[in-house]
Amino acid sequence: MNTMFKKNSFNRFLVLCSLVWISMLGVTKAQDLNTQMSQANQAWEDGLYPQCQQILEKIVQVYGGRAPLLYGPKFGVIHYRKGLCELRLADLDKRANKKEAAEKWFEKAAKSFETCYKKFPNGAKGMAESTNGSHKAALQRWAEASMGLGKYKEAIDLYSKFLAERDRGRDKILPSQGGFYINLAICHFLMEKPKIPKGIEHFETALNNKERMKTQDAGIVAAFLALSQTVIAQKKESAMVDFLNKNRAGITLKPYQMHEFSPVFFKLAGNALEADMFIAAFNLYALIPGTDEAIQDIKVRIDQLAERRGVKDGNTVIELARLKKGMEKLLKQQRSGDPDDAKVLSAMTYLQDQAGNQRGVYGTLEQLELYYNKSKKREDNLFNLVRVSSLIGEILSTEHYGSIFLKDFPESEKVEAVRQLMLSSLFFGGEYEKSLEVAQVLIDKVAKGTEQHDICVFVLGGSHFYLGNFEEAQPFLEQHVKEYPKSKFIMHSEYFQGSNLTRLQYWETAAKLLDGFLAKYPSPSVNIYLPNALYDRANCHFSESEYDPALVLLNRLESEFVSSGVIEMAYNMKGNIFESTDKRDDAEKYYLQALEVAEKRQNTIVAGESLSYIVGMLGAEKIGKKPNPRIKDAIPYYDKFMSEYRNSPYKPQVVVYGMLPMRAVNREEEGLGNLQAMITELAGKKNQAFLEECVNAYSDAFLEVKGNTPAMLKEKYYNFPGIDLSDKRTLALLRIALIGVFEEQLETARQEEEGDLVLRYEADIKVLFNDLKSQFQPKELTNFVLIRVGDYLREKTSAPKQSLPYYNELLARKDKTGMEFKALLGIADVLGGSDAPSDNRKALTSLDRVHSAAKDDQESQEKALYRIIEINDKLEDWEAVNKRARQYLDEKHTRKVAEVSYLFAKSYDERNLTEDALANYGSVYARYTGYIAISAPSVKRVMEIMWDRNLEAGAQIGSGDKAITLQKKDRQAAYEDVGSKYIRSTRRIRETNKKITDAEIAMWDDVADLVKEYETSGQVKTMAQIEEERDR
Amino acid sequence: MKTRFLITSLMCMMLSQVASALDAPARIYFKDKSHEDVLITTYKRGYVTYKLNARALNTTRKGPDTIEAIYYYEVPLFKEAMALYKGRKYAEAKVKFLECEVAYKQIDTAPNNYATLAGFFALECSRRSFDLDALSSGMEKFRKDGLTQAHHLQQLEVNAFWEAVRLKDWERLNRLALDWRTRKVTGSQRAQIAYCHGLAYEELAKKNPKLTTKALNSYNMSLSADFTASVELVIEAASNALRIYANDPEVKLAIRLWGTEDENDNGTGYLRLLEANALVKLYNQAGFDKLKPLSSDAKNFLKYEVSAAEAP
Repeated sequence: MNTMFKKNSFNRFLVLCSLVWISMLGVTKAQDLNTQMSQANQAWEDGLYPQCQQILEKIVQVYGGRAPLLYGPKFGVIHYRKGLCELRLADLDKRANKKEAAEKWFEKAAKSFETCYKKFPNGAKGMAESTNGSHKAALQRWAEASMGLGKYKEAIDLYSKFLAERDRGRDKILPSQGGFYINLAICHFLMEKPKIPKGIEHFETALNNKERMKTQDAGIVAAFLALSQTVIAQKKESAMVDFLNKNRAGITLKPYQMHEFSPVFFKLAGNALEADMFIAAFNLYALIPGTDEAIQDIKVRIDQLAERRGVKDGNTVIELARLKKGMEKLLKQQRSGDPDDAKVLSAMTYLQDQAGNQRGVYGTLEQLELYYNKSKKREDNLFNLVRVSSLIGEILSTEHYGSIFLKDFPESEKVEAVRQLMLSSLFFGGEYEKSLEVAQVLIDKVAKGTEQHDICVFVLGGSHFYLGNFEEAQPFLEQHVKEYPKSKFIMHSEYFQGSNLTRLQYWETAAKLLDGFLAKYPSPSVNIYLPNALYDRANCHFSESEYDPALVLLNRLESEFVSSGVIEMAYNMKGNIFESTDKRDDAEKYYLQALEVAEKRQNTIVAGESLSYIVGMLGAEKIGKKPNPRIKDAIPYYDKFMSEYRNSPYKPQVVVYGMLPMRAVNREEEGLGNLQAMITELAGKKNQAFLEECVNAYSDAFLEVKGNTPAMLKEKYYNFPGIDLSDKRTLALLRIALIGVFEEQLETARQEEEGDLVLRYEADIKVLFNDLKSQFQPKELTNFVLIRVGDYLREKTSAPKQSLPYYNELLARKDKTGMEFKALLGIADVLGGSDAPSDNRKALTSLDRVHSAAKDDQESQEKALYRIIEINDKLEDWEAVNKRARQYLDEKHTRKVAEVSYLFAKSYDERNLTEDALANYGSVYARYTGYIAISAPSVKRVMEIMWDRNLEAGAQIGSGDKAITLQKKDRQAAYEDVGSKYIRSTRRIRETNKKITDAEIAMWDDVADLVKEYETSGQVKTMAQIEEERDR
Repeated sequence: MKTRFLITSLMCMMLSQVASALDAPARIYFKDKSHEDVLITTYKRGYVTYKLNARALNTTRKGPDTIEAIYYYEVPLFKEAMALYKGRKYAEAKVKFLECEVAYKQIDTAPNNYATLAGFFALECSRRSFDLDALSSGMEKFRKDGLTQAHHLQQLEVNAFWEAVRLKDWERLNRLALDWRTRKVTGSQRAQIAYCHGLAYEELAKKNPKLTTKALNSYNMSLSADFTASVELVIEAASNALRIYANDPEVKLAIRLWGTEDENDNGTGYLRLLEANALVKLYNQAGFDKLKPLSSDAKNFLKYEVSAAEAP
């Protein structure tokens, strides 16, 4: 309702009235009324509206009954002014949200205007002659009061009546033409049966003629609010949207004015939301001014007013008091932490959420946290920010805001939920380092058995797994699987556990777990890891050389999961299997397939890997024992790799495998250059995998170049280009490579019996090892070099204990790169060689560890077991020798099978189990006759045992099915069938074999002496006698 | 000849300026607590020259020693321009604002004068209609002496973002936006910064695709920063975000696989496709489609909706 009227005109009017009374009344009465009117005037002037109303009320009570007779229609003006005063009071109460009081004043005002209009018409009979100048105006004011009372239809009727009765020249439209149409619009919008188009018509009249009709800004907004209220109630959203699009300029006031209407806009927007009228809601919220803008807009006006009461600018009255009040309200809101801006942003959050636009929700919540973090609702806002950021995958934000939440709301009931969100979000977002960091802190703060502990353990295991910290991952993964079998992450951790073991190369355990996993989660729609698990399981088979079952799984991957992320790796593995089983064409096909897919997916790692396999296979020097006819075919792939994938981690392999093909196409120098560069490049890296192979390949290739000598290589390796003198690790590796070269040369010299060269190379090797020992600290050496130096000192010097610091250095390292067992073996060997039984027992413990743990290093396992047997032999623990030797033979080791078989026999012998000893010695010397070191002592013991047993021919040995009857007497058989026969069959070895050692000669001679002894004992028929009988 | 032409042109320009120059209606509050409604003819360093009415021949000059404050009445030219501006008719508004700026140039160093304000809003018209060349040249000429509202002055600083957009200096834009991230600005300015940052991220994402989500976040922030009042920005931001989704190869793949056995409802493309769907819904719910209909590509996103039960 537009009830604006002017204070000055009201004052002028009151003064005028006073003068008229004086002229009309008796002097006394006139003076009395004049005084009262002056008081009313002053009260109005001072803004004391209640007092003003009281004075006017008193006047109409005192004079009212006789007024028509005494004063005529003119007295109606008093009622009119009283009505205006009541209208003002109603307006003030309404603004103060005092509804009942406002209604009371509106009723009074309506009554006053009605009285003015009905009881004091101009020219009525029976009245004193005078003029009621407010007679028609009262109709308009009555309409305004009726609007205040919500009687809109009545108000429209009053306005119509006014328009019908008014004298256009005399009766002005109130409060202004614009205000009049605004009021009409409001009435049409808010009447019981709203007439929206008619209301809009009046509204647009006021808007389009704003200047001419002096339409007040406040009235415009009031009408718009009425329109909004109606369209929401009537669900006629389009009417408002159309109106807005047409008249946006007219209803958008300056911020200093607009902010006053914000509460109503909020309410209406809220109503619109309830009615699912989102467009209306958006439009209403958009009209709410920013608090800062409103404050600045007010401030600039306050400054311009220089503490004056106000100014009228065009149709707008700018009042200092109102400005200050508004400013105070806005500042208070700001101080509270919840200004309108924060409220609208919250509403925007709701609107974005309604549409499901979570990224938009994130945007609003982030603004609330960044710019309105003093809000009373901050805890909820911040929690939702953490939640939504996790939902849309903004994991770093989840972590960031989650940390803020935990810091600022440590007592909140949402703390645990935030921790969970932070962890799971970081983890599933692939931020493993960050999630590890968070989980490591949280694990000590959360109680075991809780969901938080569950997730912490899971994230620790999973993050370590993805970060390649496989050893660290394993205990957490095992703990999670064991302690939280019902966790929502159990499928993940079960897969990680199995897969992690493949990374640790515990193939057997990994295989069992992966089989269990695949059986438990067979459906690809549930098991997102199914292809990966199939690949890992195939890898287990492949590593155990179980190619057929590996191929079954790989074929399944190929047929069912051809789009999976591991398919190119599966193709490579198939290639490996085919290459290992000599199906080179199939291998090539799969390597190329892997390359194609990897290139398509821009998976450069696997593409580089495929090329390395192709170069390795096509570039092999020989196929079987025949030269490789396709060696040159490797070159295009070599070139492709070097031009497109030279940053691949497989570059060392490619330059090594490609060296031979490069020589084959006369690009030897280039290949050698690449190798040299590779060595330099690897030398500068922390991870030097394949450096040894590069150095070895370089050594071979260098010496293949016509004119190059080992001495030149030595010169080269002592001054290798690009390798700094401080890079001790690489320099030591080059020395070791050189030693390898000299060892090869030494072997050749020995075979060719070049005594001088043998001496020279032996001396060179000794010098190089001494250099290594004196110039490099164990800490500066690579694992490989540590083992080489350790082994040299242990095996080739008179002080094997010197090797211990090298082995111990390696064992102290975190990264032992498969050399751990070699070091343990070295240490055990040294301890085993000691004269102290306590050292020997320590050695046994160490060797036992190697034997049981080195499942993927069969060579070390075999060495360990053999050394166990040897040391037990030394300790004369025959039970142990027997047990371990049987184990060695059962495990089908081959390297020391002769020695072990002998010790196995000996273990029976030493325990006086003569029949078993006899049987085993017998089989040893029969199987290894030419191996004098084994056969000679076996034969000797067989002879001695039989001699001592001394059974006659026809005696029975053994029992049951295994019982045999002796054909000869024991002593004759020992001399004739065992000793003499052995001497005869091996004499040639004794006499002609250049490799036979002095110890073996002595052993053989022992047997020969025993044969002689028995022959001369007179207890046997000699061989000469036997031959004589035969000749006869 | 040329010189003569130049002189003639200059004279014409001067004359046209003189002809369009208007006195500024104002109320002067004096230190003696009196006031006077006047027409100010000039303002310089706190000194005003004024006359009491349009026909008055005598002028008075007063300075800071007697004047406490000046209230400038809103002039019709500015009022007219502002009505057009509020009605989002920026081209027409700009003409009027520039006219106003010239007309009251003689007072353009006075605090809160309507020449400076008109000049400021002329720049705003250029910005809101994305005429960045005009904004840039306007900024070079603009004198901010008369501006007193902090957010107006701050807007001039924010215009540096638009200059960076104009120059396609995405790295600088990114740095600027990060510097301003926690700075207190108005909602309109936050919407601008977020939008410009979205543009920068979108360009930088061509080299570093990880920035794509940052572009989406920035555009989304501009959707709500001033409660959609800067509708021209909001519409552009939404369109740009939808363009990102439409060009995303993973989204394209998710569209191809939609409803097939190979559909991966954990995949990034699938999730972004749902985001695009939600953004289009928001666009329509807010009624922006009536202001600027979406491209057919963007409308297509409406097809890809999951039921509440299936929603991730």
